[in-house]
Amino acid sequence: MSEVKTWKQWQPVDDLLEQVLAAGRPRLSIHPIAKLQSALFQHLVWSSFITVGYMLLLLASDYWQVWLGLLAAIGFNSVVIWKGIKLYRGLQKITLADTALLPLLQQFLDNCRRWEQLQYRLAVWVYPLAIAAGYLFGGTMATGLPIHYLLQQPLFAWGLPIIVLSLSIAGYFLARYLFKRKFGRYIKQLQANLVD
Amino acid sequence: MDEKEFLTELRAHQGIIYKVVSMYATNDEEKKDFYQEIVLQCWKGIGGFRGDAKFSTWLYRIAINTVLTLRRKKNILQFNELLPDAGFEPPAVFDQEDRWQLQAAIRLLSETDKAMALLFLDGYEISEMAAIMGISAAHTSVRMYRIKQRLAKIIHSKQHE
Repeated sequence: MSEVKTWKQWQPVDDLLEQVLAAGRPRLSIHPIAKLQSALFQHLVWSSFITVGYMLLLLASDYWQVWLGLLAAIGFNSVVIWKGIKLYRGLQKITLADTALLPLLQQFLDNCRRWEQLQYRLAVWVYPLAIAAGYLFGGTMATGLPIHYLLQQPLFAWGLPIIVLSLSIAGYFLARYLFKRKFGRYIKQLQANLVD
Repeated sequence: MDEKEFLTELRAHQGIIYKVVSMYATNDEEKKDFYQEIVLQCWKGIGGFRGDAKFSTWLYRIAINTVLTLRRKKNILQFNELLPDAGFEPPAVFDQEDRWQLQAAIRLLSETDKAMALLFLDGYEISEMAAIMGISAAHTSVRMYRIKQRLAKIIHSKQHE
């Protein structure tokens, strides 16, 4: 076919492309994979800092009730970090020179969704414990009184379930919102490309 | 492949980058973004280029994967630049008007069909196209048949307008 032959022979040159090539290696990627990688890395760093903070609080408290809540939060963060590292490594392996990029991306997005769902599921169990621990720890730190004494005070005792319930629900929806804000746009963009 | 060889190869095959980008970019800004991202991805991927595939095939794969996963605006055809003649002497059977018609018709295809049409026009075999696109040869063959039919229909209708 003459069209094929001539199209193949045709080697256009564009000044704009020439400028890009002359500028050397571009530094910043605008690709959603690179953005996701960066967001995931930041997420892992912050989660690690927060987990270390929980560990320090654990050392500062003498009450088993607080330990229980903090240990639950540390366990939750550890699972999320561990799964996040696996996800990050998987993303690092994906390059745009891959022969089957779209199936690889689909696999990554599926893993990403599973990671997101895991966080929500764990949060339902962990947030109430962590919030209760924070409430009790805050109470003892602010008043200098022991937990068993504080729990005998009606106001403090009634405050516990109310705070746990309201902050757990708020925390759950905040976590969903933050996840969507941090990763949602790039996931959506990659997902849209896979639909075609 | 060292840096100098890589840049020489990239320059020698820049027509591939241009052909792919010109089918997807909707404006000059997006065109530059595509160029930069493709060149960056080439730099990132050059370590994995083992030479068992042709450089042009490898570059095509990166260019297509980049535009298919980077595009931000779908089906907005604002970028109406004609393909330039630099480095090409058009024969009579395939002049500027024919090429423009073909380019305009390809732009009306879906995003992945555009990539397949480009690969076909650059002479790739069905098996090579299937490998680049990450789909089966049978699927590629059927899809290519439909693409050709659609292109013929579009060009035919344009000629009779």
